[in-house]
Amino acid sequence: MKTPRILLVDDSKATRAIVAKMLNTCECEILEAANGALGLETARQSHPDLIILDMTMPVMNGVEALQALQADETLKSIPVIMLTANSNPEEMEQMKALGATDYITKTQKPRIILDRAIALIGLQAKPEAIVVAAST
Amino acid sequence: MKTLILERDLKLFIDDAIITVFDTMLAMELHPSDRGSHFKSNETQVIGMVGLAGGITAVVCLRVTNTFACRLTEAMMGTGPDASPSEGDINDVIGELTNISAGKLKSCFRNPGQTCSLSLPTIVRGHSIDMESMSGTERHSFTFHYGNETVVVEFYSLAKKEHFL
Repeated sequence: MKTPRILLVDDSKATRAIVAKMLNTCECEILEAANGALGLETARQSHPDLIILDMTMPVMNGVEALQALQADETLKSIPVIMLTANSNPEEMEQMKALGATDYITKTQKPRIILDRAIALIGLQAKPEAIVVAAST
Repeated sequence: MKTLILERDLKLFIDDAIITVFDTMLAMELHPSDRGSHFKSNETQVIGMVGLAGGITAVVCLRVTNTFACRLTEAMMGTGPDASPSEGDINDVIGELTNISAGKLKSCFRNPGQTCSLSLPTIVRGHSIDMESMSGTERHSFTFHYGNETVVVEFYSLAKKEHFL
């Protein structure tokens, strides 16, 4: 079975590290990009199964990147989880109207990102993660 | 119309934002303190700053010592204490913590139909840094402790009469 590929787009290396650590408990390949333009380029080259996209970034922000993804026939079917420092219900609705699959604020526990990724693309826990979980 | 905030609510908003962000991102339980901030004059401080503009005009500053900033960076980046974090990584972590805190605060100040935007984070570092507010700007300072470490959050807001009851 093909290993799911997840593209993580955030200008904060620290946030990418936290999210990648969480996702790495599952069988997946993680690609990283530091802004929307680099994320779009990586998406076109690698066709990930899921994109996690920060809202506020330099060069190209998350909204612009989301619109570019939706405008590309080869990429528009990829589920996109928007990640943001803001908790704003109106913004959440706006992002969903633009084509985002989900919307997570950074003040929510990082585990939520993993749960949403599992629900969206059926990630499987790594055997060692299951052993750790079973022994704790 | 500007957002109206009760002065006492500001402390509740900031306590909630800072405690939530440190717990979520770092699994660190911060405690609000009335003791004030006591940074040693010879110790380098790292300050993250993020502006809010729209429903409220304000700047949120998060100030820690460089020693604690290194510890926060090691915790967030998942590196061990043996690998000394780079200045860039420290800036990234303090900037992101300030950004997420400001984002959470923003939702407290939001009025329906009003937009409020966050600036990109800025980092300042140095010894004995004093920040002064311009005329017409109100300064509020809040101190938190994590063990022996101190986190100071300063909130500078414009037009006190419009924002505070």
